[in-house]
Amino acid sequence: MLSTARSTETVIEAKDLSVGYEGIPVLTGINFTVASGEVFVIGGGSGCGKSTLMKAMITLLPPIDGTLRIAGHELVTGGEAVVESVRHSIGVMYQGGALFGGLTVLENVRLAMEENGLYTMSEMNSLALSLLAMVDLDEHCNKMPSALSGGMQKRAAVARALAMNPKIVFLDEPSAGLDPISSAEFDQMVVRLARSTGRTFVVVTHELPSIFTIADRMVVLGGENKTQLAIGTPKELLESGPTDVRRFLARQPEDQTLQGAAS
Amino acid sequence: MSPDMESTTGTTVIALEGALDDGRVRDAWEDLVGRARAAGSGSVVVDASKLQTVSGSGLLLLAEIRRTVVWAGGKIEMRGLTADQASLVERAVGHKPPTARVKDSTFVSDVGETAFRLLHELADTVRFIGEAAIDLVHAIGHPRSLRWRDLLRVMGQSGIDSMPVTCMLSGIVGFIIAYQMMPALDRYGAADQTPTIMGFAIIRELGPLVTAIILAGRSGSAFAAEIGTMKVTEEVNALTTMGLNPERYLVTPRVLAVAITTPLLSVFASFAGVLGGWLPMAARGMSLELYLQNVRSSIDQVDFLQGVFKAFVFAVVIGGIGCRSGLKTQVGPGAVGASTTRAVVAGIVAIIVLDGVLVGLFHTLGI
Repeated sequence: MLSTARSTETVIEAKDLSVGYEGIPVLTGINFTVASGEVFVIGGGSGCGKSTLMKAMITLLPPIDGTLRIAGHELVTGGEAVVESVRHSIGVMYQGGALFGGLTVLENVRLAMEENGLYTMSEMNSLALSLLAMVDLDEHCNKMPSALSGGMQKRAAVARALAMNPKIVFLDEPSAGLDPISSAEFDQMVVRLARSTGRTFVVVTHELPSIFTIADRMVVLGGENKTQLAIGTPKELLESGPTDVRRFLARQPEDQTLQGAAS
Repeated sequence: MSPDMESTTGTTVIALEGALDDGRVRDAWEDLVGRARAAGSGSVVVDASKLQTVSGSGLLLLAEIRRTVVWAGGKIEMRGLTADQASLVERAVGHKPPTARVKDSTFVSDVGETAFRLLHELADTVRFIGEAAIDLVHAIGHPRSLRWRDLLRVMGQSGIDSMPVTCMLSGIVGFIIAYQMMPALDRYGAADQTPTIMGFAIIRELGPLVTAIILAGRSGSAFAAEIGTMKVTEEVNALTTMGLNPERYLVTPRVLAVAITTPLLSVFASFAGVLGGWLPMAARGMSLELYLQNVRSSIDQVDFLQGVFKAFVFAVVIGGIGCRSGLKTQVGPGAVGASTTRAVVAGIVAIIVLDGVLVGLFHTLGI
């Protein structure tokens, strides 16, 4: 696990945040901050609102109330210009990779750079290849996404997410659909990237092995009212978190007696 | 199995014995559930201690008895079940009785809501096509911003690939019209006017219309399916969060491609339609040269440009509708199919309505 609090700079701040659809809150009372360089996990059971919270953080869903500051930009009261600024500060890996099927892996990684127009073609190719090498995919750069396995597509999507040098990288359910070995390799890659690049990673997952491998800190969502149940390191929460959170992290349903904290 | 019931102490006892298998369950269901219902909010004891076997449907029957008593406010005790069976039966009761769906709409409100929704859809579609047209003008002014690869790919698909089927259909339509029209014209001794009418009808009207219908079926549906699939697989979201405008990135190359190819395709389709109309005339001995001369003399540049202009307008509208349908794709297994169907139906309805509007407009303007 990474050491906590790599920097005092806060890159994400949520305060009394409510998020939902068409003005109807799905999650309320969200309060947390994420420091620069942290690997922060948003966890909780299925249907607890993890993806809704992430959608709000990556500007796909306008927050309803409270404060949501991403890389210094306040999204609740900010307009379209703020949304654009946030989009230039983040990179996102979607659950299925969401690579563009008509482009090669290299072209996928190069795409945002092309639109930005800051680099020459050879510079972009060089940068994209370096990013693909970081995720062990440089040898597959000229393949179409359909020729890659699910895990490789996700790694390519991480390379694409890093392409515009974002402050924060969001990963949506990275372990979904991966076998245990690929999932563990992916977790190791996330830790390696976080350590080597110093970027902040926000990971939405309910996979316990991933949580305990990658998370510096985590927020657990859930409860009848769908809110924030607890925040802390996974170890802290497993040992001394609220009962629901300990049950979640110990993988113990309600009709089983909660055992003592496991490490 | 022998259901037994006692009500002397105010407690209904249902004693079960033997095998509660599928056949017995079917026979006993109405009777046992009816007795549980008759107990109202009283107490019911189900004694299963003498049951030898219980099938899956038997457990469902026990669950139904339990549910009936609990939801009526009564008390129930189940004896003789294993712990796992008792747990399963207890879980099957659920938390609360289902509430009946209350239909709070009337026929009038349904019609009103549908009309309002359709008007909203229409306004949104017009806005989307307007924005697509503005993006088109912007792209023409800034060619470097265009996705040339997409543009050329769609031009190939909507132009070259569509050419054979469009020309074939237009030729057949031309043949049918000429063939059907000749007997009527014969009555007035005006069969030799067929080339004149054909030139007018095909070049101003049917050439662009047939091209547009093929376009709606091939390209409109393809745009909706492609973009709809991208929506489902979150590729559209990926574009958005990368700071790329999905409408400009996905819509502009597609609409521009069909806006370029459709007028050209319409010219070929019109020519094929005119040639198709010659076949019945050829059977009467008219040479192709004379036929084409007659067609040529019946139309002028304005007629030709009218047809080309119509094809251009149809292309922008069909391309816009197809792309919008794709971007509006919802979630679920049938979502992309629904978007594709909507794109084709809305596209064909739109071009026929629009054709009527353009005919009226040209007539009013005297062209």
